[in-house]
Amino acid sequence: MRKIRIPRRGVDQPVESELHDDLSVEDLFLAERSWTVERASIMAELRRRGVPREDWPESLHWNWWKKAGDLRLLGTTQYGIFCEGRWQALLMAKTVPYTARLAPDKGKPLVYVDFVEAAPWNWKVPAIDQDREFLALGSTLLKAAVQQSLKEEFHGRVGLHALPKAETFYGGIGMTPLGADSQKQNLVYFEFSRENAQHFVTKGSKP
Amino acid sequence: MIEHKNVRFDDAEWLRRMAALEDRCESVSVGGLAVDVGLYQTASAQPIESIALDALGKLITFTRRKLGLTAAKFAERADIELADLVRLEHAQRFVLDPRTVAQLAVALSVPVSRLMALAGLTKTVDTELQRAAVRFAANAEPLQGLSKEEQAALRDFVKELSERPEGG
Repeated sequence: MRKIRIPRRGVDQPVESELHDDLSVEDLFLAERSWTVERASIMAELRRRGVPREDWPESLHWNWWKKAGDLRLLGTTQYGIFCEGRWQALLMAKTVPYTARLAPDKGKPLVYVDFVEAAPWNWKVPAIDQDREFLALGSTLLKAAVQQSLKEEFHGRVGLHALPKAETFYGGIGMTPLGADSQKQNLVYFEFSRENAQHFVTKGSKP
Repeated sequence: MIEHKNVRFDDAEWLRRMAALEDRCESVSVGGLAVDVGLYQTASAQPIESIALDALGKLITFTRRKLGLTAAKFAERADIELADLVRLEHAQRFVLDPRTVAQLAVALSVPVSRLMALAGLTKTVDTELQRAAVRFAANAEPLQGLSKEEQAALRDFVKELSERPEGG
């Protein structure tokens, strides 16, 4: 665990937080489960306002707790940001069996990000006029994934499949979109080259 | 190239810049794991075509009976939901998720990619495979014991799935 600071809406200075890199898979899904009440509140408000289902946050109705017991995950690393007594965002990464698709490092190992999710109060939900409470959560977690890639001597290579509403973000930080992946329900696959990963952790956003 | 120990998490300007970027975007969620466990379905996901569904259901039933397994035992062995197996064997139309198809391919000892193609989960349409599915579905009846003709039909269809090169 390391101490970090995270920006909070309406507060001048970033708030003291903790970045954990040692959660078990069970810890991660217990943390995610702790968001159940807030997720239900958002769902209720969306229904009350008659918002069409296709405009809901994509992960809103996913029941991870039901699936968590089925998951046989080995070789994964789970990260979480903990602040003000609550988990604010989570990430799961692994190094096998994925390899880089981006030339000139095609076929070389990388860190694959399997899961990124922010707590429901950190979602931007325009349909119910909700703004994020804490900011830069995804960026901070992704920085941790790039750091892991550097530590593993993968030179910062990171890959992931973004949900459609997140494509703008991952493109915006300099990850290269490599097209819809038919093996992953046509989610767009993004990858950090060495150079763009370096730029991201030092400067942020696209080079 | 920056070293991992030099990656900073206290850069105020970096945080400010990333906060602004994230605030302009609707989400930061990724979906790899969700796809793998069947939580994510695209809006365009279609129920499997009826002929392919019929063929897949019979493939499962025949293989299961050949192995002497009940539906429950086969579902347990394949590590899929029993309800999904029952729907498949009764050719009920529903959206088949990739994980279930992958698990079935292992249990049926056929290539994952071929079963994905049969289930309509690949972009390209394999017309030869579809024709093979039609022949198999037409020639196989779900009797209690496998007749010699059914055994031959099963053998031919598994061979089609396993040996022919991929592609339409």
